[in-house]
Amino acid sequence: MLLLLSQEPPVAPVQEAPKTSVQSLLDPLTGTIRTQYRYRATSDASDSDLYEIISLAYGNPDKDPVTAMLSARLAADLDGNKNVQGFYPFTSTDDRYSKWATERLYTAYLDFRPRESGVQMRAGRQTLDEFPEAVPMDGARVRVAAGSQIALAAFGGLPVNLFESSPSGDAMYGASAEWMPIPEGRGRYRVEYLHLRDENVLGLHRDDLVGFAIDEGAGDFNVYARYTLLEGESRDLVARLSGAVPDAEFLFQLQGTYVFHRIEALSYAIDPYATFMMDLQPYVDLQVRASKGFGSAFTLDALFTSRQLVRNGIETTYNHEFKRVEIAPLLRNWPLQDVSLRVSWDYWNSSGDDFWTLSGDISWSLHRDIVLFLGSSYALYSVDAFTGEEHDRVRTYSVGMTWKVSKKSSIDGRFTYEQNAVGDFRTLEIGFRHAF
Amino acid sequence: MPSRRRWISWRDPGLVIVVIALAAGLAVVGTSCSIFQAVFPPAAPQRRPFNHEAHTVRGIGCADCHEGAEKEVKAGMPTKAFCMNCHEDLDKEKDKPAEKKVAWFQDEKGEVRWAEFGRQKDEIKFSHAAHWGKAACTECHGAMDKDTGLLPHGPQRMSACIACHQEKAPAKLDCVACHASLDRTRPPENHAQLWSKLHGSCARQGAEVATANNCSLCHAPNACTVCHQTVLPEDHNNFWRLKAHGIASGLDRSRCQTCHATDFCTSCHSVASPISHTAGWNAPRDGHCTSCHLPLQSSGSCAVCHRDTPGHALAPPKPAWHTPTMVCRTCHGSSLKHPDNGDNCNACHR
Repeated sequence: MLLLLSQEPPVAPVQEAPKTSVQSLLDPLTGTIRTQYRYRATSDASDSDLYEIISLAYGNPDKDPVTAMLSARLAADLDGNKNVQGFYPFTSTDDRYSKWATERLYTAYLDFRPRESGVQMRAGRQTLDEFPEAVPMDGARVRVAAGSQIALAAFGGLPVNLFESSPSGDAMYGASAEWMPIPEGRGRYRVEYLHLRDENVLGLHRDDLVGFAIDEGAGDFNVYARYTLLEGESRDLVARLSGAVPDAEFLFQLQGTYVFHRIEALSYAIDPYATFMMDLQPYVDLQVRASKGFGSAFTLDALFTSRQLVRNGIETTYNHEFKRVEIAPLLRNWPLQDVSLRVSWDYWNSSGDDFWTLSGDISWSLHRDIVLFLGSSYALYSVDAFTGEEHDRVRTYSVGMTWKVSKKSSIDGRFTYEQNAVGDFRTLEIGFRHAF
Repeated sequence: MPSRRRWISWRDPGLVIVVIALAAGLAVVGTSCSIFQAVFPPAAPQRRPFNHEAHTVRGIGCADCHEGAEKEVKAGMPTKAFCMNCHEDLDKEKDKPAEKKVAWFQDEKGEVRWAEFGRQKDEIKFSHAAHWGKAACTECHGAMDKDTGLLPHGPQRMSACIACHQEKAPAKLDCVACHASLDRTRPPENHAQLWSKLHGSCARQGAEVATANNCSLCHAPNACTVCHQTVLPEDHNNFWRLKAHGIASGLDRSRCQTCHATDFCTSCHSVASPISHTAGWNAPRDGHCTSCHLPLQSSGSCAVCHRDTPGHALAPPKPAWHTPTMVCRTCHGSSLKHPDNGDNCNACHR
């Protein structure tokens, strides 16, 4: 605002009411708020929930030395918390609390960037997404740019476990160094260290993770690789080549992952699953994704993944070798203008449990601001449990619409009917989203 | 809890791989983009670099050769005839190096072919005339006036445009000010194909890598968290919530971690029973325990919740001299004290 005024020629003072301080304080505030109502029912049970999701940003990170960010969710079980014993078809993670409304704070941090100092400080609840796993933390992080080619960072705080009642015994700290061989270039070489101490219901974990990462790009191609050590021993290696041939409307990504050793239970923040799914067996995973456009009307996406256990890895209930194929054609504005047809086939083949899904939907832009859609999906799960093989089928039918009420507001609604081995489910969702 | 080991082992194959990868990466940097140019040669013949400095030091301004810069959308490139106004006599000098003559830039048809390093995509709306007098040529084109033909010049980066507009023309910062086919309500082209699968790796590259991947241009910085915590994948229906998630996570647990990065499993499995646990599940004559105890304490799905069940976590440990590579059934196959359910012995006998 000041910059804009400084360029305008001087004008005579205009008699107008001065802006209040409240207005000027709220000017840098932007964000979205979404309200969503969900009703679910079977033949003998029902559930009504209300969700409020808010995302707020204060200030412009490109200009302002101080900015803030907040995102949170409030969930209310409108018909009360049905924390019933035994089977209940609408059990939710929120039922572990003995109250009808629960709140979750995802991010809430303050950024401070002294002008032209190359320093960025962030304090509050944040996610360290530059690490191999995005690690949520309550704490502080400082990033210092040492010239145009080197950036150093350090952080410390408490790991965030959204469902843990006490952070007692938890701590995390670490650092990273990043080298950019060419200033403002695309090449990045990183070394990172993360220490986690996590005391949870199943014991105390103290983990040290070290990572080396390379990110290089040229033209429409990008190469990425990351190698990590856990407790001084090779943990995994990920290498990825991605690129595009714009003239041919072709995108691709090749990725290989190698897990070197059996990984036991770790801190939740870097491995929330081994506690329940047991050890992760070493494997090699090769993945190819590709997308080809055929003019403006037709796009074909495809994925192939193959995972093999290696180094004496043993196949168990939660460690399968598998092959996965996904094919997803998309037709836009064909055969009718404003009509899109999307189909998706996802097939997982393993020696034990297998499943595949086939889904499709058709959407019609009834008006510039109104889109109607109709869809259906089918899934078949073949489970080879110790009791013998069983087949579960799931059929889902849905219809809905989105309506852009104004430039900043929209309403959406969806009704879904689902038939599966448990029963028949009917779900109605109505949402309102407003951006400001 | 993993045992403490020393940090670096040079016999570690992973370390060997990362050292090789680092060396390869350094080699790529050392040769800049030449490797890619060799593998993917440009379709058009390589155009020869031009020495701007040799002209600017003689008092020739940008608009003297790029005549449209002041009044037209495109600055324009000089024709051969235009160059020859000065070079007609200059190029006749004896001992004048070939690269300093106009003929050096001619193609087989005798026309000059200039390298257009600053060329933008057709959908970019830019008028040189609109910027004339408001910004010096070098503010967008870098030190082109001192370029001897060796500096790598690419198209102007959007970050530079934004930085200048923020200071000099804040009213023209919206997408539509420069883009003909893009605005805040219409996603970029690359958001159509495979975007739901590829956006993660693009987002992690950060804003500085490529403007097209700079999520913050349209999305709030915490959009990742909000979306991954609140928007469900299509296959997360009621059956998925109640049962299928166990099957899918058994195949590829890393897929879950995209969103469920905290103690999500603990929370639900501490209060919710599987759908198979009906009222009669725990009856004395129920098959789950009378048929065979093994799945309960092995790596099977029972252990997800029943890992601390008394009597099931008391399997004797392996003798100390047993190594992880030993195949248990080679020696114990015919002498097990309990039925062999085909599962992983190490899950209980640690």
